[in-house]
Amino acid sequence: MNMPDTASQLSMPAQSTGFIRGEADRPVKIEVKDLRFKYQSGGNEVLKGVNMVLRDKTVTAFIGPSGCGKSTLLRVFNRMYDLYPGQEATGEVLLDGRNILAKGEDLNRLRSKIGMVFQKPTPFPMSIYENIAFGIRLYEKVSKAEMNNRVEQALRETALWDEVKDKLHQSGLGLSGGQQQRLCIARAVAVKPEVLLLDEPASALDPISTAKVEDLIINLGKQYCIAIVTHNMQQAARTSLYTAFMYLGELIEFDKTEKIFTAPTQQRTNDYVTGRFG
Amino acid sequence: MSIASRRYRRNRIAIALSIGATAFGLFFLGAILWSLLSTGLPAIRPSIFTQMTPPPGSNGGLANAIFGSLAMTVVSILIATPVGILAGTYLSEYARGSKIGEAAKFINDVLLSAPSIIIGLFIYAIIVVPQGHFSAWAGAVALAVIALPVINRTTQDMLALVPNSLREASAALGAPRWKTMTFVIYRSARSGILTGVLLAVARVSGETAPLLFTSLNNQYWSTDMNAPMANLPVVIFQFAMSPYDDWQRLAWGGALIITVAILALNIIARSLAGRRSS
Repeated sequence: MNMPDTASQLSMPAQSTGFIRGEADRPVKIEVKDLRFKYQSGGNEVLKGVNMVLRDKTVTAFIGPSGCGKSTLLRVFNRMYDLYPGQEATGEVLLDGRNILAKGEDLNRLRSKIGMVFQKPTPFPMSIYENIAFGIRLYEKVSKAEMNNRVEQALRETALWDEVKDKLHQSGLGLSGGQQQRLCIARAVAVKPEVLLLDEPASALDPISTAKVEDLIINLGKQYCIAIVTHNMQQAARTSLYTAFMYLGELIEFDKTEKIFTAPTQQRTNDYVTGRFG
Repeated sequence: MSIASRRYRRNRIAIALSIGATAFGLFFLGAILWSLLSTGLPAIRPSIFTQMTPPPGSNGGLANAIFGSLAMTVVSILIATPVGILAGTYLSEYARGSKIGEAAKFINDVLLSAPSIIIGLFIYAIIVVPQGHFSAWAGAVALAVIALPVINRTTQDMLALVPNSLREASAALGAPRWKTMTFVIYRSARSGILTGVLLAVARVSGETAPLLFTSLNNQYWSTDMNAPMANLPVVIFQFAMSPYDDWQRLAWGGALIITVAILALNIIARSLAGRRSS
């Protein structure tokens, strides 16, 4: 791969003014303490004692080579791993101070507060309208008019409204890949979550759809605590205020995105963001 | 000879063998259909749908047998469909990887290929003997036992085809598992499961052996499920074996009716299955 020699030469998109700069730090939303994870009990640790914080109304990016544990970490935040018997996480993940790894946590309730969007778009086999209404209906009782409002609002937030307003009752499977992915994001924000987890949300999309999704992430980052896993370093640089670099299950460096990309303190971080490995 | 021309030659030989094997199989299917059409078609007259099975030497039709076949098939599918779909759901979704689940799947596959005459004998022993007489109920139950593993297996297969990402996406919204199943997964697998049910109908509507031991036959019009009931396969069996020309003609007509009905069901099932993938 042809990459610039030093991190500071990383090309930024033309319209971007550079890195995202937050004013004052927002309050902590999620705190991770000595998090360890195994896919099988007795197996290898895939996360080896991760400590970090995710701040509210802030985008935090997770970068690192494949298999470094960044997606695994994301799947701990909403306990998605619980769908699969045998996978176990130890340590603490505090959401507003409450440990969500504790026994007796209501997982459905938890996941309704922590939305997730996956690498491949996953529209449900139902209409565009129903795709969004499905999530809302799970935990709220709303009137028909209110539901129409909520659906429209979610589609507007994800800049999808103008494209789909005339075909709300057609199947969500008929949309293009980029539209499907924005529908999935709309579905996730429609339930008014507190946290959004994005697992390589744009890696299956073409450049134009990717740009739209990135704009969306930047905008949503003003309202939600967002964690995004990405293999695209420009994407991390463009969208996030904080970046975590992970390698082999360890958090190597975690700092402001600008710092990670221009003046990392760790040699491995520097090698990765300049494209020397990974 | 060069490698390329050798490969071309091998390719031609393999294709010729494949075409030959296909033609061999299709020849017999064509021959069966031809003799069925040429001999059966003259027997298809309006009276075949309106008159009862006649004594030898007089005119008649197959009305009672057609009704009996329909009635027993419908009842058997009404019994087998809910049980089969629920069992398939359990085995595919809830018992995945468990010992009892794997054992049940294996036993179901054995049942799938069990000779139907054994199923007939089984129902004879547990329903006909205690009751003291043949009945259409017993016939319907025997057919249900044959349809059950078909529906069970296709339900398992169709649910396994639903991508896991859809289950995760639904869970990520906070949907409890039963809602994920009923609103997302079943919807996604619906046409596939329906195809399985139609294939089960096609399978049982031609079964003869189990009905010989259960519903037997009836020369008269009967709608009493608690009494012996005429049905096409057994009537065909009896009439085709008889020395009477008019009975043999009716048997050909009945064979044609069953074949056309099964063909139609298969075509409907195929078009449903095709719609799923598009």
